[in-house]
Amino acid sequence: MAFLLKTRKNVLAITALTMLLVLLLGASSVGQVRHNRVRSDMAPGLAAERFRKADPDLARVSQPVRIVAPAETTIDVLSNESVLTTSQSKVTMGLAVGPVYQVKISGLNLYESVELYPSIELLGRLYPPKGMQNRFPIEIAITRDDLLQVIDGSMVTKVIYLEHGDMVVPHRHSPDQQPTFDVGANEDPLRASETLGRPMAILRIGSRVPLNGNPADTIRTIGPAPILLSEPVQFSLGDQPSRPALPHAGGFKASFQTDQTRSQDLPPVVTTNRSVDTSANVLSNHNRN
Amino acid sequence: MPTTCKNLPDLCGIAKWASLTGFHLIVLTIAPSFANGQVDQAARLPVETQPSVHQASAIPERDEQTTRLAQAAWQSEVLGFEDDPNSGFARRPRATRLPQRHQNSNNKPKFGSFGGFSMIRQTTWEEPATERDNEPTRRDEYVYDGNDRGLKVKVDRSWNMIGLDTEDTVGHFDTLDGRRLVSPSNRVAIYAPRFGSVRRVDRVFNARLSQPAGTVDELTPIARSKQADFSTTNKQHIAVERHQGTRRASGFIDQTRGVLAENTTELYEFANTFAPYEHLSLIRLGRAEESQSARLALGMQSAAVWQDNMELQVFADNVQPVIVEDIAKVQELVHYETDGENSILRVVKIASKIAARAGEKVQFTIRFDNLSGKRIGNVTLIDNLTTRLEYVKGSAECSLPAKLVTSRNDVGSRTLRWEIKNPLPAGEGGIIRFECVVR
Repeated sequence: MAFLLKTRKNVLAITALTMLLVLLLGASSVGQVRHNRVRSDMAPGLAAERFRKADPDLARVSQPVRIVAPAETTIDVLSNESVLTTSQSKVTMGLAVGPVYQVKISGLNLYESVELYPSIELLGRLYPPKGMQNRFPIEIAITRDDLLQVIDGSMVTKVIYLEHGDMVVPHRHSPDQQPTFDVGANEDPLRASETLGRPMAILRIGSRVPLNGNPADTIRTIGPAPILLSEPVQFSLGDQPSRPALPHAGGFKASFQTDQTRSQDLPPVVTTNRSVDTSANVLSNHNRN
Repeated sequence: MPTTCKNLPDLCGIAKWASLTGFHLIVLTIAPSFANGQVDQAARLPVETQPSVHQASAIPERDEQTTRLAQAAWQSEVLGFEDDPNSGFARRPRATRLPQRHQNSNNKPKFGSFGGFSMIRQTTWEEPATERDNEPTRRDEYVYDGNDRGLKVKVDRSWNMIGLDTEDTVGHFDTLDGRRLVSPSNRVAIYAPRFGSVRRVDRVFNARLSQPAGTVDELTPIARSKQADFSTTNKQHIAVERHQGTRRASGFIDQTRGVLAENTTELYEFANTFAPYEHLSLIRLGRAEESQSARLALGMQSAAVWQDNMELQVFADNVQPVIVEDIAKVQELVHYETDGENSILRVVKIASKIAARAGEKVQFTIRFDNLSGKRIGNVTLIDNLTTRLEYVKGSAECSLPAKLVTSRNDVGSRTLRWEIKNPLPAGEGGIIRFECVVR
């Protein structure tokens, strides 16, 4: 060991190795705490900007986004120089990743005089089959509880995510509804949404209201202006005429027993270890050959 | 150009032929015994009562064979061992990889299979086939059903199923030589993104101080609110406009379907006519035709845009889809002739839609065929539905006498199990239909 310290090069090398080892050990212990470059509590627009820089293709598409508010409300879309009045509670519009868009929601029951200005920050896009872009928008559901929380003085931050197939809530709901999970004040909803799927948008309600009575002065959208789109059409097999059953003369209609009636008609189930003997057992008259 | 057939120890028989021009694969199997009309009449199969999945309340203890199968399944999946004595058709694709979050959109998808046929090749199922439009795809936007993901499904002598994951659609059967084999179907992809949200509610830190100074309490009980309740005429306008638009779109579909009904092919021994998406010789007759490969790819893998109002155009004009010349076309054809000693069950699954919003119904059709020269028995088709698919009660049909058993699975959906009552003669098959609602 002593001969290693005789030359200066060896001493420097050992010192460098020791420092590297210390750094690696320190990094492994510090690595327990994750540092996130993108958080939902950043200034509006920063998160989308970082998503867009990570994938420049995001800036080239206009992603349909559908906002659903309580039925009695009205959604108006704020653009740079104007307000797009819709008089509807469900609005579909084309947005880009990067700018922060803002809408006006008014007409909530018992709070008709209250106007709220949620902002929408798009983080990602969908990749539907060609021609189906407008039929499958990103759904953003604003519930009555969200609006009441804001009227009560709170700030509501919702991160809309695309559900992962293995994390799906086994519950049927319409596109106007959306499963929502609440997180605590010390948790980042963006981080939580990443564990459940792919974050698509950040919705903030309760932020700044417009001054001077001009809603268009609230926000300056740098980027493509929102484009109003038509509502996606819902197809259903139930709307189509049923296929006629064939009047078979010699055929038969295979019918099944459901699990309610099956137990009454079927013999008890045999679960014993029966070996397959090809010689002893003979097919019954089911054999059509 | 002949190819090696190391992947098919059970199927490699007399001859094989393949062209190495692509990565899609179709397998046509001709067993000499039934191809010549010489079905082995002396071969007899036992008829054994199959326990239903949800009836097996008391799960029997694993015997030696069950333990061995479980070990083989684990080894083949985790360690990559390919010795699968329980394979009923061919090797199955490996476990599908998890979706890559935040992956670069320039990451082009790869094609790995063509319907149920390419299961003969050891491939990993990749993204749905919208690559023709140079559009990237994401797996997390699709709902999948079919194939055998994760651990390979094994069935032991006590009818215990090992490795049945969600989305799996398999068929298992008994052979004359006493084996119990498993054949997976192809995988069907339906574009159906669904969204959720994570909410955080922040309040002001000094709320106690600011609330007494504010006018919150005064704003809440404003008397005007009662008057505003009566001024809700906007609802009427909104509802009328929305409903008109929706009804028109639905009416267009009705017209389309009506014309289609004239061109449907009647099926002997089946309750209903064929649906347009089922109008394939592979589904009707069990024969794969090259000219319909593109449409088959369409139904199996969401290969292109196929909306409901486009189905009529394909049929009325009698024009093949334009994707025939696309990359989804079958580019490799392998022909196998077996010596009649192997038992093969082919399971093909297609869906009526390639995209569906939440609440829409999707019809699934499963075609199963005994491609071997021997009779097979105790044929059972199992579909373990994924969370997003909700089985429509009473919608199941089968062209053969069968018993349907449904049971809840671990992910909040249902496991459908068709137990075909009679043995399946050589060269014959059947069709199963059922409906699901996309959640």
